[in-house]
Amino acid sequence: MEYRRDMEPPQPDADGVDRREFIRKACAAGPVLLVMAKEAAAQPDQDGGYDPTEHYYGMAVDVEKCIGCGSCVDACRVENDVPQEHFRTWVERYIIQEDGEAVVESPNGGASGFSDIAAEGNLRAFFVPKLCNHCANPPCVQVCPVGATFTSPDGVVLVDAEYCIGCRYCIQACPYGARFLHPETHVAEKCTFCYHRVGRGLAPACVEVCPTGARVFGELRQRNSPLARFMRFSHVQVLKSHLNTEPKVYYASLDREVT
Amino acid sequence: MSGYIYPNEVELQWGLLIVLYPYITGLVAGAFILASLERVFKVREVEPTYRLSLLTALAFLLVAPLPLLAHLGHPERSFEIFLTPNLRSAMAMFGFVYAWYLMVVLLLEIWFDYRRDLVRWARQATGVRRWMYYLLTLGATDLSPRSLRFDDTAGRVITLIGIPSAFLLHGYVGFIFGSVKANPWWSSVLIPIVFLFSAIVSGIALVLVLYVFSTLARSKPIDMICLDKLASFLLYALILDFSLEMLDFIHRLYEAEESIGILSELVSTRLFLSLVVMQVLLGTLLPMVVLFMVSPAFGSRGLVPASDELRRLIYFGSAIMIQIGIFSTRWNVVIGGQLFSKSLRGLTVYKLELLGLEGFFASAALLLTPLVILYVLIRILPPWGEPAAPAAPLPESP
Amino acid sequence: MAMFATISAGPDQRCVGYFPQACSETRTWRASSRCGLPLSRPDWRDYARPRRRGGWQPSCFPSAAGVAHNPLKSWIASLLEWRRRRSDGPTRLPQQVSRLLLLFALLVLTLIAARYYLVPQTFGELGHYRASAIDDELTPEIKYASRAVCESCHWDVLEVHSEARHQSVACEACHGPGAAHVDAPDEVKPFIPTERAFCPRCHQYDPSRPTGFPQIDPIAHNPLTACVTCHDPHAPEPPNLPATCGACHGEIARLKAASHHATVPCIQCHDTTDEHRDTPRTSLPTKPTTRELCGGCHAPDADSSPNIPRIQLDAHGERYVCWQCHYPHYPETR
Repeated sequence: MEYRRDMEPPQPDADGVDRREFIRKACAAGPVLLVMAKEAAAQPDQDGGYDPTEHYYGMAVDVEKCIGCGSCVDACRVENDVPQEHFRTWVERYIIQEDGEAVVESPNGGASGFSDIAAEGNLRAFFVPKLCNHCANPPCVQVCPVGATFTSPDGVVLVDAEYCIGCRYCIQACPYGARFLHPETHVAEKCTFCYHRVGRGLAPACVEVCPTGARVFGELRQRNSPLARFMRFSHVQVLKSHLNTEPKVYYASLDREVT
Repeated sequence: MSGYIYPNEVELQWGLLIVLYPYITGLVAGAFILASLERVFKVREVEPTYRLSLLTALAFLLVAPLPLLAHLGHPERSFEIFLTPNLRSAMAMFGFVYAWYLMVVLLLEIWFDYRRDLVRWARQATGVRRWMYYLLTLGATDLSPRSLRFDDTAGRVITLIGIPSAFLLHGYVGFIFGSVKANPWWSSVLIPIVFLFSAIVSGIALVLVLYVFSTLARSKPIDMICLDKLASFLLYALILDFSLEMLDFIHRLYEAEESIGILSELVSTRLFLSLVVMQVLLGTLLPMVVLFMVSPAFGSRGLVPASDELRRLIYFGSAIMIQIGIFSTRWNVVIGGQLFSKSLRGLTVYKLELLGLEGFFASAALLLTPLVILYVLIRILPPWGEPAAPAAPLPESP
Repeated sequence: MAMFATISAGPDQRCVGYFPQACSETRTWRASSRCGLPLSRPDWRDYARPRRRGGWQPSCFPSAAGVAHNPLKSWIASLLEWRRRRSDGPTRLPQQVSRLLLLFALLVLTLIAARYYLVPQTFGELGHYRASAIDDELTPEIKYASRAVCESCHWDVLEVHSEARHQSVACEACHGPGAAHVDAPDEVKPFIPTERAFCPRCHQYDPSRPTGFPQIDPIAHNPLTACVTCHDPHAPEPPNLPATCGACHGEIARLKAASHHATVPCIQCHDTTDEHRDTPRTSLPTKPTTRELCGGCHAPDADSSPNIPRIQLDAHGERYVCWQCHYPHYPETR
């Protein structure tokens, strides 16, 4: 069910007292202050705003909590204007059959949920959200011929859309399929950990809307961050560790079948 | 599409244009190596093709960046490769290696070799042609014996530098593929070497074809000694190339890494026609066997005696098949490497368009352009010693 | 430097260079090259040093005025002299080289100018990239406001919501992006889902979903009724707790129902408290740990139906526990 702006809000009560009106007026000061604060934070500059050198980000995914609803894929698409048929994040479903074979699928990246699977013949199934791993040893940054993709001081791998020449070498070099070429701007694009949100102290959109808390975002180098706590209490793995890309997205309860 | 591919892998990133680029630079490197055979290794028999191979290399080198520019998302920003190259990226070498090879190696070598003739033609020609030749001499019109000796020495030194430069020009393309650890079809230490030897094969084959074609077009007799020597070198290079490719193949099968399942499926389904049939059977094995039988590569005569006409036909046919085979090699590397998913669970297809920059017709035009440029070069700088505008009959230059 | 001419120097001769050589045989001065100062004739041994292997190491000798020669200046003079002599002859710089050097210099200048003018200002400040790209990435508008912002106005809803079962569900997970609503609270209203088709996105039964996650069959579960009729979305505690284990553990229940264990109730093997129906993950049921549990029906002396197969507990299956080979919910298979 898609969110649509033309949906009618509920009507006020029959006795004429609009509870919403009352509450809104009662805390009129709140949003005004908040909007002012939001405006102030909306243009972070290097003078008084966000300092990338004070942070170092990573993400964790708890595979056992993911229910495959696809809210993260939708939210990312809305937040970052991701073009159709391309994905900054997506959800895969792994179905382990009785003969041990794994069947993997990701219909539309999982954005519209998944279809029913057969009741018989399957041992188990689970969902795995995927995204750019923001590797500490990124092969994509290594191969960019002009320096258009880079790792920011806070550990986020970004693409400079004004500088990228669109050679697509980084897309070839990414082992995780996280990158794509934007069909309109003709530059490489990928998950940015919603850098424009992170710079304002917010969480990435996918982390924000995940209903089960399967995605955990935070600082890797602060002991009291949710991410550090999660990694302390879970056995985490990374994808394709043999390639030594040192991903910073850590998966808990990752199955061996996940490639 | 079969199996599972990552959602972002639906569209292939590098298409036909990127297949063209290693093919063209391979021809450049191969033609130059052939020229160096005469200049540095003193293989006198192939002397008739010396200037032709240099001009061929130049014609193809001029076209080489075009498929890349056509493929870029922002070709207007391509100069950034010269200004801020990322020194850790193999692709960043493109600008410098290309510029080096074009200017310091190829243009200089051609200039030093042709300078005497350019001065001569500048003195004999009239009108626009006179100024054109004079411009090409860059004003260095000294034809004293010392100057000509300097030309000769310089040419030899540049060819000597040019051989590793040619290796670099094509080898770095192989390294661009070979260093991508994300792609098990590409990631291999042998890819730059295989690229290089297949480049030598394709370059020699191209010059052979052009030599036969141009000699027949000028109604001159074909120098069979030259042709035999070309075919011999072609055979040597072909044997080396095939051995290296087989080594890569056997090595992959033996190590049987995680990707062996999907790659075997790739070769037996998607790439059967282009790899097993066109690259290996028609493009390598058949020419190798045929050349082995008739060419005097391992003896003064071939195993099977064949008349001059038959040998010519076989050489020409083999060279054409080799061109198709080497093109298939490039196709199998570039397109083949993208036909399977990095999840190692599925295969996809390449949809070749007809129109548009990435389409079939654009690539065909890009492949024909060097031949047009070569024709123009041959008209301006005839490699056969006849002066462009003869005022008086002059002996053919050696 | 064997090209120096050597002449014998008499008392009126001038020094012709830097390396006067003392001939060890005739003991006469031989002057070479030119420095132009008058020669003097002191004992040559004062100005020459013996070489280790015999002969004499030449050295410059002072003029009559007593001013020592500057060896460096004289050496440079002799070098220029050498070059002058060379350029007269057949070894001048070839014309080709000078023309090509000119061309090359032009090219290098162009590259330097291009680098100066065309490379972006902030390139290289933080690494091999344009540092202002980081600012570019920080500027786009946000679409999702985050629940902290929602709370500032709708604190009453969140008071209930934060202690109910949807506490981990963000406001915007159901209501869609809210930043536009925050900017213009009266003009832009967020989406409010009320249709029945909305909730099954998360709650439709799917065996891929983790066990214990509340799931229903949308066709069978109160059809044609809107979910919000019974479940307040902000406090969606169901009006009735699940009646059977199969309501959440449908896969296991269906499997078991077709097996030999069909009549075995779940609680026979799993000690389950009532709280488990309410807060499943915090009040977990037990799982069997010993073979004796299965032995309660399957031991030879067990008090159970004679149709139940009996095995020797201590002999059967070596040291493994039963469920390592027999899937308890479908024991016919392994």
